[in-house]
Amino acid sequence: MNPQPHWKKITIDQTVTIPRADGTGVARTLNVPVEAWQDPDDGEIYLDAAAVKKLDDVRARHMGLMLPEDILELRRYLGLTQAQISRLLQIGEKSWTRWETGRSRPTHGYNLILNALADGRIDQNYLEALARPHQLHRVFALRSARTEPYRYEFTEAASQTLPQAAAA
Amino acid sequence: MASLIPQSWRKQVIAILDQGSMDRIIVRLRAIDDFQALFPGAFRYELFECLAAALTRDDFEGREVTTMKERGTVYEFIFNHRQTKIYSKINLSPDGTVVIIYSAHRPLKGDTL
Repeated sequence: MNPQPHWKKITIDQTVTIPRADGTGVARTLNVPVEAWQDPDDGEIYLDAAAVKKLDDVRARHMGLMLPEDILELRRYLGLTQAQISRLLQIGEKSWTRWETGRSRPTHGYNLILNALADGRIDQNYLEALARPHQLHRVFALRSARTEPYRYEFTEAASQTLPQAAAA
Repeated sequence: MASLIPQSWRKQVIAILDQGSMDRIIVRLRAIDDFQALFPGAFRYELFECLAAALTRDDFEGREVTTMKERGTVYEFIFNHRQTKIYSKINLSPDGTVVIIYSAHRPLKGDTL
């Protein structure tokens, strides 16, 4: 759809800055081509939301953040509604909806949890217990019974669990 | 002089921004660049979020602008985001389906319209 009849479609290179992991300064910059509109009368350039999302997705990917499509796929893989997974993560349902649509991005902390959930490193039942205060004593009991720190062995087979299951 | 922005205009703009419809939100490149200069760590999409959040206030004031050449109803307004004042100007198309965000920068003529 042409937003204004006289605007011309063009392709421009936009700079995307990737911040350092610790948030101090820029790790690197990338040039990303996106489709845009130009008003031939005054030269002004306009982007639509798709172009904005593409630029944000590139930035998110390089920051190690899950993309909206990945977040949606994770929820479907877990077989949960938006309301259910929001309760599980103890966040507002609107926040989850925004993550799925790309209107906002999870913080680095939530991104870690989402990745761990996607890789099967966090048990869904465990998160459910954490979300229910009356069940917290079970979590604490298990924790205090441990003598060794919880350790995962990362194996090739384990890392492929999600894609195989998703493909099925 | 600023006055209340009509609720119907605000609601339609919020609906479009909230839905995140890919071809119904148009933003001038300068507005994106200005917003990124104000908030270097922000994702570009946060501009849509903070505009929608600002427009939800029933007592939100702005001023109608009649000088833009694109058809539609345009309002300019100043709002706060992360303790920063931002001047913005938005066009809602005559059929109420498309918004054009023209500006998102520090107010250049003081904190009032």
